[in-house]
Amino acid sequence: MSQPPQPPPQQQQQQRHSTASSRLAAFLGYATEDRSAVPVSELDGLGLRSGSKDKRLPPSRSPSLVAWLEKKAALDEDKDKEKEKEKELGGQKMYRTPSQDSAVKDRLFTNRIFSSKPGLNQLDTPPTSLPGSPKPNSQKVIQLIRCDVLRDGKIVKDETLWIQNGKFVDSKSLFFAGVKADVVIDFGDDAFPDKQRPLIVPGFIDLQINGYFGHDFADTVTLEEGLTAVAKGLPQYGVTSFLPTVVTSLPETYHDVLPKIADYRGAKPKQAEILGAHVEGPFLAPSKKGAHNVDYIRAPTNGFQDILECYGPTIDTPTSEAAKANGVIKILTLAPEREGALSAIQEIKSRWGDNLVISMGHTEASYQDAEKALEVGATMLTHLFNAMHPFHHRDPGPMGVLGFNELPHGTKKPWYGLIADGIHASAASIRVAYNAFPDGAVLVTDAMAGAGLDGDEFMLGSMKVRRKGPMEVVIDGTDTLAGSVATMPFCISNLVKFAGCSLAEAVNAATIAPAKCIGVYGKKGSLSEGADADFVVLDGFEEGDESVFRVARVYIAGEEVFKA
Amino acid sequence: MRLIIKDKYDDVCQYTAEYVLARINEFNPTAERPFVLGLPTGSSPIGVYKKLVQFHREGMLSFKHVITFNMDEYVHLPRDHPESYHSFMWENLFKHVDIQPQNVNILDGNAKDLEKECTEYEAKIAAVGGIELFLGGIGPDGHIAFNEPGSSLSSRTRIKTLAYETIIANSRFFGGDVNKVPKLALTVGVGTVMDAREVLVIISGAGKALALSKCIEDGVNHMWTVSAIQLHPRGMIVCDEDATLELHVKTVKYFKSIEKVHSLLTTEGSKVGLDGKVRYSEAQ
Repeated sequence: MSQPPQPPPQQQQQQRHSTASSRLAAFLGYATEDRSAVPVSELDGLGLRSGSKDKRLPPSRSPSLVAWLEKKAALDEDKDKEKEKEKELGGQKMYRTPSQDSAVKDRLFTNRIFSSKPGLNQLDTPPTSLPGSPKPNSQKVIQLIRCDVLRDGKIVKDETLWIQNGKFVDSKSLFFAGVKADVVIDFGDDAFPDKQRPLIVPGFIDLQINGYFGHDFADTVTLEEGLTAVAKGLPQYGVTSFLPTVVTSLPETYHDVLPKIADYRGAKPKQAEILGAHVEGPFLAPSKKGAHNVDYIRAPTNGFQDILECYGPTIDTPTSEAAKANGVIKILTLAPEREGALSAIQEIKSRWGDNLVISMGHTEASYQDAEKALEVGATMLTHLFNAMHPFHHRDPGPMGVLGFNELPHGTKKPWYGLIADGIHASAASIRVAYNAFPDGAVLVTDAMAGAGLDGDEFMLGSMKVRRKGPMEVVIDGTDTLAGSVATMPFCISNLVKFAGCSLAEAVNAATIAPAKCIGVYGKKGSLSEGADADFVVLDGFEEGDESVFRVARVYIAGEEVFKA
Repeated sequence: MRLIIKDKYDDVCQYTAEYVLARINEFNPTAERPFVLGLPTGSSPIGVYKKLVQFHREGMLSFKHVITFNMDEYVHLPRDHPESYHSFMWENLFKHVDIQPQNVNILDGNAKDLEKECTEYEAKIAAVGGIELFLGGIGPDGHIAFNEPGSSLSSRTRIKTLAYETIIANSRFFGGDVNKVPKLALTVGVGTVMDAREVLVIISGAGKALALSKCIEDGVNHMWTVSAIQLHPRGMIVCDEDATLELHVKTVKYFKSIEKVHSLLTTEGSKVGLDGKVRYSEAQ
């Protein structure tokens, strides 16, 4: 009586499909089995349909029938929920208030027959969503199709990327589990102009930013405001993670600023993520101070004791492995030739291991000093060429370490920061350094408060600086460069021009290299499974000139935060 | 049956991919009326998949309303094993196109009840209205899917033991270790393939020449299971010159002449459709 009408005698011909009538039946779409014998929940168990909540039958019937069955399934679920609630309440029935009753005007056929309650008009809600709030953005499953991506440093065409909970997930398992994407973004269609397929790259990571948009990170009073403003403003340049840099200051400043930066760390929606701090100074060489305040520069004569006194408890011995990985200082720049510096480096490395990168910068170190520093644990050179011993044929200075295939005593070649704005180092120097050690290049902007602004005079720490040219800023009253106002895309484009590398390699220097340098590769700087879904869509390419591109869109944790 | 003879493997792939493209676009699939496609695995279809991805990239072909059914899968091989047919389809096709995950059907070799899995697979095919176009390859022994010689020509989806030669041949993908190769597979039956509304078999290389000749020129025989295509109302074989090495010269000349006439007639707006039959449409 309640069974839907069965097709004429097909049940007994389950296996013999060589007869014309059963082929005809199959052709016309009749089920060759008694479908009512297979409960819908059994089909779900195969895991080939989407999630457990979706009880839709396969699309074999007419659309109206499908819709009817979906509504029935949704109503059945509601019925079950109500029964549970009734049990909770101890058997009391749930009553509808008059306002809910009268809300239903035209009670349709389906409601009257299959709903035991007079209430909610089920037809307004789409069949697949249950009563309740829609999924928050962070839990959505996002599928990006027809992408050209930069995977492990190489361009791969026609890929599909899946994002869940703000991270990239293994596309294959999700696909075969039949998970249906909430949002599908198609990069092959006309939404992206210029016919040429856009390129998806990991979000850029900037390891040296002193300030931006008029904010300075050495200014303790407005620090939180500055961090927020910069974190919100950087994504437009494609930078999705960065290290705020604190220049040479008094110990009080560090004691104040570092805990605040530590608290501010962590992923925040629609903001570039702060991964930690880069402390540049005060243990530098006074003759190579650059734009730092010479009054605060000193030597760490007492080794680690001085370091601890200066930076405060944030650099004290970590108590556990978790604390080690969670230290706020990610990079420490100092001059290794100063008295006590080498022992300080050793002490820091023995306490923090690879979690704290020691970088040589603002230094008079000769080539031998640099080698010694590498042996005791330094792994980076801060803005190569600037504020360091220049290259001399008999005394190569720190740059000399880039030239070896392998350094003596088994030390590894260091990462080296490059400010590729065309002003801090000439194109030819960058070309030489890059070709000596391409994998070690880390693009940094060393941007200061004036970056991103149009004005002519700013404060950098406690120094006054003025703009000399469109991309050039000097200390007021001198010609010393005072940091840069470059943006990361500008630097990437310049690296292609100066070093003659491909766009993919230049982007690697802004993504993979900085991530590996501070040890977050795999979480950042990558589009592979497990990485945070921070990525940038580049377009506007030009045939024959790899340095031309445009940051079209920027996504952080799968959410679009910038659109050109 | 149509036999289309092309010069080389690349031409075979080009023709097949263009045919699939034309069929799908002519069908004009929608959400309510999807195009159901049967897909093979192995070395022959890789070129076809590459060309289909190329068409997709150029915007000529969309897989949004295409439902696919694969022919076979190993039993008790983990789904993410690089040699499983799930991985093969993912790497060669699904990763690159916009097919929806719920429209992809591949037999699950790790199901708890394998026989039930096979019956359910048949039910799913019937539930979506049967397969519109079934692509396939052929083995050197004339088998289609894993229906080794001796399989019933009316067989359905079932569990099948693999022949010893097949296991030895496949061991090269499993590090040369014969013990690592799965001994069982789930496969669609010959009857299932022939139930599709159209069957297209891709045959390339001299190693398949004997199989092709036995399947076309000799009778329908369970020792060469592809010969069941002789009974299909709309079968098609696309092969290259090397695969015709064992055919009679007369056969080759005959089919080439038929296709020559066909290619003269099938222009846009012509009266002759893709299947070589006269099409009655408004376009005169």
